[in-house]
Amino acid sequence: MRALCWMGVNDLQVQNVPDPRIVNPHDAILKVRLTTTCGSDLHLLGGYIPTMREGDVIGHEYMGEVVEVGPEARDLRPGDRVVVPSFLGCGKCWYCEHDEWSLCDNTHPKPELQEPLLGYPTGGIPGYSHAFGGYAGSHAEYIRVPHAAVNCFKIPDGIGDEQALFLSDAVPTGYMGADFAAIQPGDTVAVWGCGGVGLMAQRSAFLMGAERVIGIDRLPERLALAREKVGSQTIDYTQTESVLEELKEITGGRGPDACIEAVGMEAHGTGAQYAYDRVKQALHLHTDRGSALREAAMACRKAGTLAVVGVYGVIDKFPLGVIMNKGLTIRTAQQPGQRYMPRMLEHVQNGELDPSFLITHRMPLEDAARGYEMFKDKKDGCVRAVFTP
Amino acid sequence: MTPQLSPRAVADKAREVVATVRPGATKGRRSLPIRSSEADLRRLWDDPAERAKVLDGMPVADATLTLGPEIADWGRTATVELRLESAVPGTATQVLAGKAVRRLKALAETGEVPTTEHNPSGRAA
Repeated sequence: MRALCWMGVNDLQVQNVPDPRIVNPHDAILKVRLTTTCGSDLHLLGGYIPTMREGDVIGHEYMGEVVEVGPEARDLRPGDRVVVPSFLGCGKCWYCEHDEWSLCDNTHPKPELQEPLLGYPTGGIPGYSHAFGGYAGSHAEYIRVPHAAVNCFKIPDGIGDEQALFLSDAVPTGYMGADFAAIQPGDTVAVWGCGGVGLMAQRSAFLMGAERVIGIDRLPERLALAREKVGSQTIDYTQTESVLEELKEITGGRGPDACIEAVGMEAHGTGAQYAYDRVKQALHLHTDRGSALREAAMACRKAGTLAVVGVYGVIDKFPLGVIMNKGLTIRTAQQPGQRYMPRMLEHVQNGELDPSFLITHRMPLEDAARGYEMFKDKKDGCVRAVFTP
Repeated sequence: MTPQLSPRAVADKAREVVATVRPGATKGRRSLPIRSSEADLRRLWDDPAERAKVLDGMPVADATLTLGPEIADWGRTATVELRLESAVPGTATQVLAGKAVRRLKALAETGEVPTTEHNPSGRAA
């Protein structure tokens, strides 16, 4: 089959690779119908997430059609149209039973690569380095899904492929951020980042009762999406002296009730701190440029909530003093999509959520390397490039 | 000017450095709670085919399973202790024991061990 392979830093190539096959009894094989770029993939491309190997198939946000099932993949049939949360659960361990699916104890084939960094391993995720399990990713014609019965969610009639696609990752990540924000009626929520996850966090905040949502970014086309498709107010951080002052002004001086950081380790910014982060990351002296995280912690009102849904490695200058002295609640996780999937599907069915507006570019898998180039460089207003294998 | 080292001098230096690396222990152990009965865990461990899945690829001379108390709803404490065929650096033996007990946990709780066997990649093309 054809698949997009990581061949080195900033080197992606579509190649012929072997087809996946049923290996374990709970597996299913899907024919991938749609698969999309994700901002977190850029950390792989840039070499900021270690343990990639030449030839790895990347991609973790996708939907498809079941073509083969293992003997224990109950309730799934060939022909079922499904969406799969990117982190894999087993449905049996303590974490899955407590709805913490991304922390599953039984889906990581290579825990020894992750334990030195995290202490304990996460669940596995396809196409996202060997430290995260080493499973082949979704930018391919077919993909193997372990523990398919609990990870494949049938897409109801009436929900299109493009509407379902982002329920795999962008929507649950944003939805989780809003959930963490513990939004009360009348709350103001500020969201750093107007990419796919940030926009979904903003939409989710409205769904959960926020009165006002403020999206912060620098790209005019993304800020326009936040205003026009989500209904957020926006701040272009390159056009203001101070995001903090703007947020104070908007909130009558008290600050947002909750701040959601949806940017991650490759934040852009302005000023000396950004220059410092940029140089230090370029020299591999640290993995993260954390200016958005620091700004969000500073902006949040006292006793507010800071939800971190951007992907981080090992950050330095983490503003614990700001968090401690202001009594912030900080919540963060990799998204447990299985927890939110029934609610997300219901929102889409009810017409309250249509994530398909994130798609700015549609192309065949053969053009995926070009799609990533556009996505990485934000060319042609690219928010998400979606590939059809 | 920095003097050039001969290949022999480099090799001698490398041997000198390697000689200072202390071998780690040949024995290591790790525990995890497993949601399974004592009888089922014993049955898995005593089945050569199942135990082979747990110890696959590990240079193990000897391996033992010890079962401890239940921890609330986490399951029964299981400890895998490995004795390797030869010493490995640092805490690598504990790391391998950790991998083994995780595999046993996955096998007991789900009926399978997570794997990337037959994983499609550009390396195998």
